[in-house]
Amino acid sequence: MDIYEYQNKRFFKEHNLPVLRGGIAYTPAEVERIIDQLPGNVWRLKVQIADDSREQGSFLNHPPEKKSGVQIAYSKEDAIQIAKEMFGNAFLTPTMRKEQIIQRVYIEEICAIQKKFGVSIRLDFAKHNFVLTVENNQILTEFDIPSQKPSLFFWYKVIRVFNVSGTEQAKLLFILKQMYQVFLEYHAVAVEFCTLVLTPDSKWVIEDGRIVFDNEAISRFPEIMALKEVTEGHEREALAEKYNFRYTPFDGNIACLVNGSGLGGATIELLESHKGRPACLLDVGTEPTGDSVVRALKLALSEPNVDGVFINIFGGLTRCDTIAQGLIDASREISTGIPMVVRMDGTNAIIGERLLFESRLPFVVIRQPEEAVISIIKLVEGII
Amino acid sequence: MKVQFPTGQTPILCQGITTASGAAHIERALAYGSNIVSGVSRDKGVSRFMNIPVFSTVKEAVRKTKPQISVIFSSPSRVLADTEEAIKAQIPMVICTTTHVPYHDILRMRILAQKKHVYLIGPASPGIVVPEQVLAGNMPADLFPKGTIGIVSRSSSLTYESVQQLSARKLGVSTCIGIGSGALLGTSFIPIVDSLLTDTKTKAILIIGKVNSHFEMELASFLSKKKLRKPVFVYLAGRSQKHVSRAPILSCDKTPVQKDVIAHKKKTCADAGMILISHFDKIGVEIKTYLDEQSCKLNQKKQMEKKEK
Repeated sequence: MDIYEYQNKRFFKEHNLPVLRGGIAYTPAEVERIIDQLPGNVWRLKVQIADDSREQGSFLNHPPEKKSGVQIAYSKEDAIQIAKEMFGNAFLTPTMRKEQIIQRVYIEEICAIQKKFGVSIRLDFAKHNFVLTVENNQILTEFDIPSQKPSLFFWYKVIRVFNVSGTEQAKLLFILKQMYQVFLEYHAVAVEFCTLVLTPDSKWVIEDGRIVFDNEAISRFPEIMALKEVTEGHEREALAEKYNFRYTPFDGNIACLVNGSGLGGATIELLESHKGRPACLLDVGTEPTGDSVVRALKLALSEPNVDGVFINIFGGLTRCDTIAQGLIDASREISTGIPMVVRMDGTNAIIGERLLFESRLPFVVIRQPEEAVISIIKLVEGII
Repeated sequence: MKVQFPTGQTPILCQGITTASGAAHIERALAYGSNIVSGVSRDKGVSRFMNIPVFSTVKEAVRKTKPQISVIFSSPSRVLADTEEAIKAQIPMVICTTTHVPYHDILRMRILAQKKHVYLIGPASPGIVVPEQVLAGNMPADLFPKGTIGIVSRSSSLTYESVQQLSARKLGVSTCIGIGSGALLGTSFIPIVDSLLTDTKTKAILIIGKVNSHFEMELASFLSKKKLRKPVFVYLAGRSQKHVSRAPILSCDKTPVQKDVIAHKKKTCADAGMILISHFDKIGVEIKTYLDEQSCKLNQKKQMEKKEK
């Protein structure tokens, strides 16, 4: 799970990590109030979105000379003007699927820079270990964090890479130890300080940083669960999570309903190899209940860009007839008339197929996966 | 150290036997003929369940029933403690079926298992099936005909799919192990595939891999150093990176993202001597064709030799 920048910073602050002073605004009036409380006369305004590349993003309805999602204001009036243009405007980055309306802007003081570093502590999946990486002058140094409590010797080995003076080292030691503490305490996948700044007056400040939580661990921390909110454009993912299946969006027009993530990947591959374009992948899990099948199909049918549904089910312990009944119940409730091709195999596949035949609903039942895929593509294109 | 594959006589312990899923799967395992010798439950006052002795600690169960395998059906909140208990008791193989286990917990289990020389299978493993002998886990064992193909898989749905395709072509399974689908696992492909390569009942191996991990690459580099005496088939699920759900994240170092991860993986596997399966619906037919061609060649060779004599 990712959280917004301002939530990250608040989180760091609560854990005694140094961040720049700033505040979150929901209206231009709030921007003014926050600036009155901040020192200095130059500030940074940053749009808050669930995407990393906001510097490369642009507003869809905006004067072209002010493009980026991060802008600098040189006076209070300037800040309010920028904020007015940001709020309610549609914003899009190269990595976002759909534009997002800006509702939150973070205003932050600006600090002078003596030196700049990058530090990250993360779980390395290839090494099966925790890894600490330091970036100094574009040179990366990686350290394997020992599984026992790391010694002072280890920390000083890390600090040496920064090449800073004695008093600065002591403060840095505290920050690094605290960073690791946060990483362990919250079972995080990563804690990253993308820009860790040493100011001319020898202070350390995290200018840009984030914590990446493990979705399977956050239920243990109510304070993190409280930050979880449905971000715009991700409503379907949230709905799917609520009903215990997984939703992955694509940009085509054929919805794929499968049981099991491996079968899902294989289905998308087969569809794409025949030039079919998936709209989304709905994975109800290896052993689904009839209920989750009903909900997943209803979600697929309610999507405006879906012209056809391909259902690929392999019945193991969950029998195909249970799943067929779920499909029938869902399409009785929402009758759209769009083509649906069902391929099912495994336990009770024949009984399941017969149920679908006898339902007189627009299901096309084909046992052979490749034929089934070709058939849904042709049906969607209106060839058959 | 080779992985010991279970037989019908291998004594099995079940942790979490009184949970809903534990009870259901153990009932099926018993019906299949698995030698379930004991259970461990945190529920107080249970001493027998489905006619199996139930203990309150793994230690006691080990002392009295000497299991060689433990199958764990605990909830995500208890699974770390339960798995650690089984590993500390040094049961040689611990199969963890629990899904949704946090990464930090998996790492702790893994480190402990390596220290104690225990094979931890999973988490999120569907278990092991040796057809007509053992079911330890939650696989639909009735689908598995007995045969000579060893399967090691990271996807349970595709395992059942391929078994069905094999059985439709009169091919069966010697041993099938699901190692779990996560990006972090107790045991990777290597020790299991290594043991299957020397297993006398296994004549060919099928690997079912995914795009979201390094395990397939590790296996490829391991196999490239070996002289393969058995065909090793591999199917890699997925083409698009989009359905990688819990992929490793990039840190502030802007490591270039491998654009075509799956193509690169497929090439590495092929270079290591593995035989790539093109699509999931072709698993059965491509294995069958290959094995038939191979036995055809072998027959021809034999006949040639006979003639020469």
